[in-house]
Amino acid sequence: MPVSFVQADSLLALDVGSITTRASLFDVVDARYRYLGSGEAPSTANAPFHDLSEGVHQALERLQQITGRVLLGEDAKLIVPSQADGSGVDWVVATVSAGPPLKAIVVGLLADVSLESATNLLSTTYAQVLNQIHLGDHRKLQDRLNLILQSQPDLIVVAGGTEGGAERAVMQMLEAVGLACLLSNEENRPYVLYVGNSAIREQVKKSLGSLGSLVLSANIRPTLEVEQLEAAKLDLMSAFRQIRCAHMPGFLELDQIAHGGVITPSFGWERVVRLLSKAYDQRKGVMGVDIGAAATILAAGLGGNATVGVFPQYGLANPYLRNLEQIPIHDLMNWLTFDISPQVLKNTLLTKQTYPASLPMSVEELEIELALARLMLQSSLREMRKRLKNFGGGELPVLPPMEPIIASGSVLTHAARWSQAAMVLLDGLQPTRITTLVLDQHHIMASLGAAAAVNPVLAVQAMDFGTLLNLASVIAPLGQARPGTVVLRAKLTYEDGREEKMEFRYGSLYRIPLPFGQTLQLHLQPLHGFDIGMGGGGVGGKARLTGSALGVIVDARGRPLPTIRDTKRRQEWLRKNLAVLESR
Amino acid sequence: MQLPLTHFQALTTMRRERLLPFAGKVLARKGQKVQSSDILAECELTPQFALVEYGRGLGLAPQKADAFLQVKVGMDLEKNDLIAGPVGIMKRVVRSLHAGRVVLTGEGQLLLRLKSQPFTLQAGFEGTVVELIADRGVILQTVGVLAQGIWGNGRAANGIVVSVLAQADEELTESHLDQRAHNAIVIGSYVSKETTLEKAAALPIRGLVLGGLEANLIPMAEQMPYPILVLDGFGRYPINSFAYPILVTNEKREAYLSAEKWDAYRGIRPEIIIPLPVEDYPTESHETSELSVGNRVRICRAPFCGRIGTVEQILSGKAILPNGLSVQAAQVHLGDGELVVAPIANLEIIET
Repeated sequence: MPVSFVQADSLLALDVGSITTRASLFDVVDARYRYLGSGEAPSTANAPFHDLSEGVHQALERLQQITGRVLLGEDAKLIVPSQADGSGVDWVVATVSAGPPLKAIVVGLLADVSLESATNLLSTTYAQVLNQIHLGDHRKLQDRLNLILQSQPDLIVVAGGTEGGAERAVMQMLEAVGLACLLSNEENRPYVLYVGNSAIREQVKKSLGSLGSLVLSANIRPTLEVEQLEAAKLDLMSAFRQIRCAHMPGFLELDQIAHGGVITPSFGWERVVRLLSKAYDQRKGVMGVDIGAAATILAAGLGGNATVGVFPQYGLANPYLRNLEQIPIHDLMNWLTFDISPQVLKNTLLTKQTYPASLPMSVEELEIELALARLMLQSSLREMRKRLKNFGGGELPVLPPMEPIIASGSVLTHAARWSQAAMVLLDGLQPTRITTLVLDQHHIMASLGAAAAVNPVLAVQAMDFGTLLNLASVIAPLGQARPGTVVLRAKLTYEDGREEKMEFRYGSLYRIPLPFGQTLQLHLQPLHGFDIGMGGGGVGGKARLTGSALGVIVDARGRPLPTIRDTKRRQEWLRKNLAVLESR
Repeated sequence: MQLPLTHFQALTTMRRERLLPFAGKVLARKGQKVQSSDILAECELTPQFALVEYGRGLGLAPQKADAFLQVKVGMDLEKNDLIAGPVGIMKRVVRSLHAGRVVLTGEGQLLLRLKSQPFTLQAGFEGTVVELIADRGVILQTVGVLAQGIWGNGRAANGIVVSVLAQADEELTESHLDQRAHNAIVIGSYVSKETTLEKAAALPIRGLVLGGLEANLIPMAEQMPYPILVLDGFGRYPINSFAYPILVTNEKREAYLSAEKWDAYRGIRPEIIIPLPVEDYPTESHETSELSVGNRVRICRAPFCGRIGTVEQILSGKAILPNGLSVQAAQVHLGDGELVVAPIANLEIIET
């Protein structure tokens, strides 16, 4: 008799996004955890509702209709734990990204040391850095004080001083923070997260402890060379939760029913990617991307270590941050297969920003959104690069080896065709060597990260069983050659014993159809020193790939992708690329 | 599905929060009838502080300097008032460089909250104060015309409504901005040229209400000294057929143009309010409504962007759009008889 690690507990995952609220149900079926379904409703954090609960309730009602399971009692409250009659759930987890980003100020000693780490810390959550204060800014105390008071931040992150390093200078920087807290009304008093030299924690506590919410966390820059964000990330998550509880109606109620408290989707992504990175090939990283209206999230894990970046400035339609002048319109036009004036393109983008939940109705507008998604991925990745330097693969700015790459976000999962989603990922991330593109078609990855804290077995098993869509296997040889040069040879052996030999030329994109349920043995031989991740340049080997929506894509277009200046040629190249992925 | 409403109403009751940007003093009282220029509340706009290092000024160690401090917390100082001293043979003193109130003292330092001109919150439009919000402002109720927009340049003003176009759909250009527009809130159609915005600033006008504005003019529009309200879309959109008549038929009346940025989270929308002299309060505007057959809706995306129609049918299941997207959709009967399928996510319910 097989041994089951499954405790027969059901789990409800609630996710309140800026546009949609989802309730997803997981339970045991045939001795394994499975995803049973999701109910969706428009989020109600915004006016006129101003209460998350309404959207959560509607999503739960929808989930009840879909799954047939009674989740709400007669008092309209969630039934926890599950009852003998099958109603209710045993565990509840929740993620929330709705609402404007936290307004933050970072305070530190050196701009390129402690401030950089404090900014990196803030980029792991939904925050907007309004101002930076540091020793080199040459501001007087009164100017720093006025700056903080005028900014009205939700959060001040104070960093500075390596372990055993500067103390007095850090205390000096804290003077303006202390005064600002003292002079702020209690309701507007910022939350202070201290992540500096731990030797002066007591002094910091003495200075700021009585002035409101102060959390003393571990030093994020213990030495000049080392950045350690892990402990501070947990405290930042806690700060986020407390700030939202104080200012966002319905958040506190959700926090009270969620086991482990509400977390942000970015925190969930980081946790799930960390979990997966332990399970997959330890020589490669695991990557998660979520292209949302409010932010783009990138998460990467390697051997149990993980990093995450939240980029509200690269959301597809963030009404709080998007300044149209900052969008490189011509870069965006480079991804379009039709001519459009910058003026008309700007009108379209501004309309999307005004109505973030709206959907493209024409072929052209869909193409614009997919182009914008590429640009947002590229921009986010550029900001993330420093944090990916430990992921191997050498030659940044090329993406280090990552497998799988799991992608979420409506622009991908609700794309008209899988080929469109794949092209966004191939062009936006430019993966290298051998990887698998996976679509989080039910938007549950962040929720599984939240679930991992209470039931890691569920988080792993729910991913296994058809919840995620295997979009394509990708082979992207890395190297430089003249266009048209054969850079990879492959011998393909299908399940039925059929064999085929193929050559792949530099500058081109290929697709080998491989339906779900089938496998393909590949004997790969890279040429001209090209690297496919089998042990270095020119080293080949065998790979066994499984069937997926698009099969196997060989992306020999080069890394980075070529820049084609001639508009007509570029448009033709884009059309051709897509046609390859859509070929039968 | 509950959707937020957009209002183009000839007569409705409106309640609007009128709030100070910072905590201050509320001057209005509940039940008070106010005119547009009446002051409801006041505050210091952005409190500024100055640090006076009197210890250093006196040339003394901080603890020693405190013995020579001549002011106490809470005292109001004028410029040149004595703060500390005299010390030594030279009778060294420290005087205030600014007028303000002493907030903190000790260890040779003093923090002064600088005196500044108070920010006064005007009513903006005629109405009745129906609720006081402690330290922040009031809720003002009025009856009249309401037209809500999709974009504003962050400014607000009141003035007399003037229509300057012969045709509702002709572009507003600088040639339309003559003496009639001087110091008025101008009802236009759309603007595509910088010169139009510049002429409006030079005239000057009190405000501009448009159907459409080209997105590349947005940075310039944000710099204009007068409020600009866009009702329908980004591009060449004339004011829609529901808003235009209710605005032009109220020409010569005083209006309040609040061109605030649209903030869905806080529930702030750019809008124009024209209070009307009626005795009875009509029903208050709704903020949300369930989408249903017969609703008047506006489509917010191309190729029907800005078009208004009536919901003919809410489609069960999902509809496939021409671009291949599979969406929850409704069939909408447009004004010219055309029947189109639009995603529900692209519909705004219009209350008229």
